[in-house]
Amino acid sequence: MASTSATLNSGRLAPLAIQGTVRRRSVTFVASLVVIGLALVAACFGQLLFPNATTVNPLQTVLPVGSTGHLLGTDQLGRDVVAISVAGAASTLLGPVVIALGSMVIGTFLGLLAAFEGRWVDFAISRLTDLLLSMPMILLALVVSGIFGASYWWAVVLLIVLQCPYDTRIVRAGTIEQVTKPYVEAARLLRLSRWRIMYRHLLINIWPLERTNLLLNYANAMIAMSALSFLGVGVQEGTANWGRQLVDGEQILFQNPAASVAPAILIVLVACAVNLLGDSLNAAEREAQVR
Amino acid sequence: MSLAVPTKSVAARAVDLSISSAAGPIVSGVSFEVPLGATLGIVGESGSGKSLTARALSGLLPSGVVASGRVGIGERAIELPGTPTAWRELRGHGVTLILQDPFTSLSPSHRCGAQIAWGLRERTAAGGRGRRLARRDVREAVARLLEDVNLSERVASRYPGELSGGMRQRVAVAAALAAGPVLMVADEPTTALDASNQRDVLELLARLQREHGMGMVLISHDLGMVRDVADEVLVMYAGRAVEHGPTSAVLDKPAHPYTAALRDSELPLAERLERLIAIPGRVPAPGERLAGCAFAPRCRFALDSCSQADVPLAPLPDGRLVACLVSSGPLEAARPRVVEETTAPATDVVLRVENLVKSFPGVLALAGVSLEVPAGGSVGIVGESGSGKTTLARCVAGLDVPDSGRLVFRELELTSRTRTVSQVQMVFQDPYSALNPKIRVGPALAEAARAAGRRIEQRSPEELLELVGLPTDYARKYPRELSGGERQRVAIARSLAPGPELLVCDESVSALDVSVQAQVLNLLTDLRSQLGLCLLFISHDLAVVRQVSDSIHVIKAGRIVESGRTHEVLGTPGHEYTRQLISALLPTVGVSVP
Repeated sequence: MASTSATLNSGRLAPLAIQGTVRRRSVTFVASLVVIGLALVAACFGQLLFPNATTVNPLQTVLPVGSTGHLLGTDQLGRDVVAISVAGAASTLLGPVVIALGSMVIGTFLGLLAAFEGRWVDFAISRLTDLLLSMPMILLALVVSGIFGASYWWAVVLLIVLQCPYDTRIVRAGTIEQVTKPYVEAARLLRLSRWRIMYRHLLINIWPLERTNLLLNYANAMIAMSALSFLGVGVQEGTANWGRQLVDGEQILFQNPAASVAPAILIVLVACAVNLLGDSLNAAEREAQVR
Repeated sequence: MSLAVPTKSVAARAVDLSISSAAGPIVSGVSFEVPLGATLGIVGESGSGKSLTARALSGLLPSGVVASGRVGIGERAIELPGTPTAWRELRGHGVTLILQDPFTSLSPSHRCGAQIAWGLRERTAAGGRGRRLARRDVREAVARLLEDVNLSERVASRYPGELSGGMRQRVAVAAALAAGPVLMVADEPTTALDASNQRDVLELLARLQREHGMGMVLISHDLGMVRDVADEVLVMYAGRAVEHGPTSAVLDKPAHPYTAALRDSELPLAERLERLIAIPGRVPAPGERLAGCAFAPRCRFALDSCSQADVPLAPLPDGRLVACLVSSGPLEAARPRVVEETTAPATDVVLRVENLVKSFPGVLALAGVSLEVPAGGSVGIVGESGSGKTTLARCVAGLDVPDSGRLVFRELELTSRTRTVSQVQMVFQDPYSALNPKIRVGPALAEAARAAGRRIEQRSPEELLELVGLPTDYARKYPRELSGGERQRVAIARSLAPGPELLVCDESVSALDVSVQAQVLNLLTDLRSQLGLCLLFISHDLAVVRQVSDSIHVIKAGRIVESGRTHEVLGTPGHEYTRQLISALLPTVGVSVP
């Protein structure tokens, strides 16, 4: 509403300031798209570019940065750091995609149901999320790996379970705001099925919220997967995976720091790019609404 | 406390004020002057730029718009847009803003007394005395201000959430007065209030303006309200001033076709018109304005030359300013035909409401309400907010389940099992939230038509749009592309899609401009005769109910206190409460008498 958003008019500077933010936004938008695009290319075609990236070279010792033929040196198994980092993109990026999407699907289902049905359904779902939110991730991860073995996909399942209560809460809150609006009541008066109201009428209106959350979750999941790798849960030693490389490189930190630093930078870059993409999309949406 | 200044000196002045956004100009070249001790009313429909004009006077324009021109408050003036520092100084010398919604214009987490005291401190700071007010002085000053707005001293320690809408608006007025303004800008100050509160707050504003010798700018879409308190009126249309002069001349004998059309579309309380006078079309959006007189496309007097060049304000012999090529003096009021109201013959009953009771935690919303809606009839329900009229509408529509009592629809008791979509549908108040913002008009209407299943022959979205008088290509539009009136037509089309026999209209025209209100009411009347539709029309506005209802029920605190034929109940009210509601609508006599 205009009355609540009224701010002090800063005068002629206003349109310039608006143009400025638009330009800055489009720069971050393009930059984040470029980073994500490169990461995707590496994830899809990494195997083709460096077919022998993961081949262990027992004859080679750790080479430092700038060695001939190995721009960033080699790791503890004598593998080229550039090649292994490109090859590691697929394993690093795929897990978090599954986590973020899986958690969104579950969170959307539970959140919509809780907000739309209310009463005991809402109560049950809300208490379930409270329970899950109180679980300590690291401890649970160690227990799960103890029972099921330290596999990559078990780590993914675990993170979906731990992430989905956040999505449930956000979707529930966003839906509760919508559910009392007359357009939803009009849909009830037309006796549309609850599923149709939830998925045709409500979901479309909370989608911007979900999209932002999806991208945020993606960055979080990537970091969480790396953290689990660090604890030895999820990805086995020597696997081409940025999180794992970070840990493995620790042993040779002083011989070749790039073995750890390169994947660390890659994780930070992609996580930032995904977050910034989310921000730009939201800002564009808000602007479209204003017009 | 009156300021000792000559009445001729100026409270506010705007010279060539223009405001534009990225989409286009919103206000173009508006100039006016408000003497101390006088009230200027600015009237116009939504989209006329009247609210932004008011905000420009206080330097509170939203971000994304740019202003140019000159604004003066008291003896100081500022070249727009002005720096924040310059504005702070100008504001400190006496302009305050009273907003429409008393529910959001006060901070919910500060006590009312503290909020009034902020203005007092501001005044001391601007006065340059450089000394903080003693706590006791503040308390006394706050008490005086509260007394000034007819509130008890105890209100100071209350939070806004504990007060009614009318009381909150008084607190907002007290806070505005605290700064010792020379100009008070009131933007639709009573629109969000009940009729009886509206009158009180309006009288209060007029009295304070007079006692404190301030200038007041009153922004309103309600001509009656402006007529009661303003000395001069500025009529705005699509960002331009179209008529400006003394209130009695402009509003009673308008010379601009737009002002005349606004006057003609006011709904009479005393009689029922066969056809309400509406202004066709809609106010152009900032990007859509063409050259020439912006009103020309909707004007019944328009000539070819009207849309060729901009039409400036020019003085008429009687001194007022009018921007029109055609008009050279007061325009005749249109005389629509009045309907003879007689007692209708008894017909069969479509809906019978029997002893309906509904309570919410702590409130008894309906305390045993019974009424009947005859076939093809239109029944009005009037009452103030909190009277239970909306709960009644929701129970009839099936959105709320009554605690006890029966709803009988054509001999069939309505339960969640026996309800079908072809019995009762509802049109909501706010056309902005009644349509799903992400779904285009066509699919929304198609979905509603499918909802009835095979019970009725399905109407296509195009047929439904034609039924409510909209072009068929609107099927491809999103709700945000439509004006308020157009959205309400779409909402009506959607509710008609499953072929209901009874339409519940809950304040369905309250959020619309007067000219659009008349369009929608005419549409409802047409639909009644065309489709044999029954209406249950809920409203706080007696004049609206007068125009659409054959019979009327007055509801107070969940009980019906008076029922009868509309012309009889409103002509010779039997219950004290009905008389109160009617008298709140009559001109506020005595306001301008010291």
